Amino acid sequence: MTVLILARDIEPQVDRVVEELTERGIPIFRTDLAAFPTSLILDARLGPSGWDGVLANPHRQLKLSDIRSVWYRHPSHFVFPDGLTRPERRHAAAEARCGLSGVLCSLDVLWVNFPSREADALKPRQLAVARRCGLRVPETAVTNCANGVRVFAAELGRPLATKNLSAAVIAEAGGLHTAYTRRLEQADLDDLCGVETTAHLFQRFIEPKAFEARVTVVGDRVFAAGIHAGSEAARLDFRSDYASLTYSVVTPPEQVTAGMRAFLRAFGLSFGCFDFAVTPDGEWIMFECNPFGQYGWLEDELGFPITSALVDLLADGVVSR
Amino acid sequence: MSSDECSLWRDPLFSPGDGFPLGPPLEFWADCADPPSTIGVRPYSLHGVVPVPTGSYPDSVTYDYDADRQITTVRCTDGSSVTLAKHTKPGPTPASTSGYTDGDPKNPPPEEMGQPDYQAD
Repeated sequence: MTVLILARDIEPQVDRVVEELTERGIPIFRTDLAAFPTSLILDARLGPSGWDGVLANPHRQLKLSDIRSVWYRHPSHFVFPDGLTRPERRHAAAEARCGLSGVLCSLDVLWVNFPSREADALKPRQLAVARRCGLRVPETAVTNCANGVRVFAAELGRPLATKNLSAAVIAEAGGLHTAYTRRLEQADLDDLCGVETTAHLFQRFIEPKAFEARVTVVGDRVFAAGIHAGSEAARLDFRSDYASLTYSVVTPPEQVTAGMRAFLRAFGLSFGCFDFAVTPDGEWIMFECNPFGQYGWLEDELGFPITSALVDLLADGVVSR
Repeated sequence: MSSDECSLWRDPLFSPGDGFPLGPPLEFWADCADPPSTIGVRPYSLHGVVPVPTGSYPDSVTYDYDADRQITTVRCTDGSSVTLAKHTKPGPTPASTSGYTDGDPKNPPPEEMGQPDYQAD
C-alpha cells in the first residue's frame, strides 16, 4: 500500500517525510499537480466499488486501489501545453480540477488533509468554530466599513490589531511583499482609507503577552512550542524578526488541548498548526489554525518528532469517522 | 511567464473556497510587475507591506528533483551535492533578519501563500 504525496517538488519538510517513509519501506508516489497533464497521467475507471485505475509519471505507476493515504501539501497549479488560448486554458483547468480531484477525492482513504475541508477553514469560520469548541479567541470584526472599525474600537476601548484574512504574501512590482500584523494607533483610526476596498479583519490587540505558542497537532499527538519574542517587532508579529526568537516546550491547559482536538474534528482535519497568545495569567487566546502550516523549524529548534508523527499517521492510514 | 502574461492571471492573492485548492505556478511569484495602486484604492490590509527578503541562499546552487528518490537535491558550486532536507532548514515564513529558509528563495512556503486556491485566468 502506497502513500500518495501531492506537493511541490521543492519543499524540505516533504523531503523529510519521504525519507522517513522510505526508511520504513513504505512505498511512495510523490507528484506536484503542475505535472498534470504533461507528465502525469490519470487513467481511471468507475468500478462496482468505486474508482480504480492508475496514476503514472515517467518514473512510476500507482494503482489507485493501492493508495493507503494521501498527504495533500499545497501542490501547485496544473501546467498546460503551450499554444492554448486563454479560454482553452480556463476550460482545461476546470476540466482537470473536476476530473483529477473528482477521482482522487472519491477514494476512501485517509487524507492529511482532505482538500475541501482545508479550504473550508476560513479564518472567520475558524474563530466561530474555535469559540464553540471552548477555545478563547480575540474580539474580532470583519468589515469593509471604516466607520464600523471606529465603532468597534470605541466599544472595545482597547487597541486594535489588523492582519490579513488570507495570504500574507503578495507578488507585485516585480517582487514579493508581506503584510505583518499591525497595531492600530489613534491616527490609524482617523485614516482608514482602503478599508472599503475589500473585507478586513480587526481584532483586539492582545497585551500583555507572556509568549506566543505554535501548537502542531498531528492526529492525536500535540507538539506545543512557546515562542518568546526578543524585540519590539517580534512582539507585534513574531514572523517579522526570527533572529530575536527563542523557543521552549510548553504544555497547553487540558481544556485548550481538548478544544484543539474538537476544532480539528469539527473541520474534519487531522493536521493543524494553531497559533496562540498566552497572557501572563496563563490564558491561551487562539488566533488561527493553519491546516498546512510549517513545522520543520520547530522540529529543529525543539526536537519535536513531527515528521515521525506524520509518517505514523500516513502509514497507518486510519480514517477517523 | 512574462509580466504581461502574469497580469492575466486572476489575482496575486488567493481566495479560498474551492474544493481542490491549488497553489500558483512556482514562477508566478517572481514575475508580477503590476505596481501598487494609489492610496485610497489600495486595500488597507496592504498598507505597510514590506519586501520579503531574497534570502541567504546563494544563487549559485542548483536544485534538482531526483525522481527516483522523490526528493530534491542541491548542487553547490564546488560540485558537491546534498539532499535539500540536509541543506535547508525547513523554515516557517519569510524572515526579515534570518534569511529565507524554505528552500527556494523565490517561492514562499505554503503557509504564507494563504489558503491555496489558485485558478488560472
